[in-house]
Amino acid sequence: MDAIPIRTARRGDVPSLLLLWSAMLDENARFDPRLAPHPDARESAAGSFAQRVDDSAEVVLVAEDGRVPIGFAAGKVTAGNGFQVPDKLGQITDCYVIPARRRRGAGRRLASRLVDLLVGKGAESIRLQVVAKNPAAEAFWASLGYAPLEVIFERALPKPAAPAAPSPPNAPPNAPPA
Amino acid sequence: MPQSAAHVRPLRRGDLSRLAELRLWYLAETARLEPRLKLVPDARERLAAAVTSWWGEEGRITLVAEDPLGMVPAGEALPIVGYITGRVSVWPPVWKAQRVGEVVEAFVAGDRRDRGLGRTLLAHLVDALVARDIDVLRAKAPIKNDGSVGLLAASGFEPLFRQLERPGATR
Repeated sequence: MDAIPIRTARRGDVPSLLLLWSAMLDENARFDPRLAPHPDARESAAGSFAQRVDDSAEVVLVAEDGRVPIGFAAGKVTAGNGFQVPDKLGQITDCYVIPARRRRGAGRRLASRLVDLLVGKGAESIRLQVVAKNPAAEAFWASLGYAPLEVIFERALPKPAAPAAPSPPNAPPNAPPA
Repeated sequence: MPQSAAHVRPLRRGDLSRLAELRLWYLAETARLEPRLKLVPDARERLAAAVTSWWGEEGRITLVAEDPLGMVPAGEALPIVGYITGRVSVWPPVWKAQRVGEVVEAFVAGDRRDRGLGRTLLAHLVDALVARDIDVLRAKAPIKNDGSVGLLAASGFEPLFRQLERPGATR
């Protein structure tokens, strides 16, 4: 089987990148409903992807199958926090391959090329986040040598108490609604 | 866990040098638990400056816990044995929750643990963040810090993401 080609994204890829990114968000939300996309997510991302493709500090890659984008990966190098190593940190912000084109090495090739480019920009270590409820994603990255470092937790806020509805006549206390 | 009788109060300017000391202990402990988060050689000097910048930083809330066992002459402040800091951050419209109350960092000196100080600090910070019209609370903890992970889990926080790392130079 031929290897899926990987190349740097161009301005003309932005519509495809948006579709792939939206699919990634939807997939993450299926694993964890707390990650449901904002109604304006796609509109907001349209502008930011155009900037990211042009930004020399960012790396945006596309995987193609017959000239059709079937996956993408993105990352950048940022300064560390100044107290802990590393001094320069490579962050993988996105990595996604459409389900129908998985298990052909596209994700592995995207990740490998992205890391090469981030290291070339000075990254001393590479970090990324996976959805905690997606163990397959963590297993994929573990197979590439990544190990857990931190956990990001979330806690929902208590909903404001609704005013108590009056009980219907003759209803026993705590009766379920009809 | 016994309920702490600690007095939790907002950070004061006069606390900054003690806060920098506690923060150094926190980061040193983190580095001991997780060598991938080891300190840079001049961390102490950098920390002092960074903690000073917390003072008056818009949106940041820093609380300190005074020593419940402390004994000082009348009129003098009790020594500080723990702190917690957080802030409200506004995220771009990616997920529905945009106004995020972040629990950034918390620490209680080793010899003052197991008295509920961490839980008390966290409860006070959560109350302060919730009062700022947030959509959700988030907190980060090193995976090898069982104390922090356990405190967050016991306080109703659930894992959302796991951050993974690999060295960049040893591929």
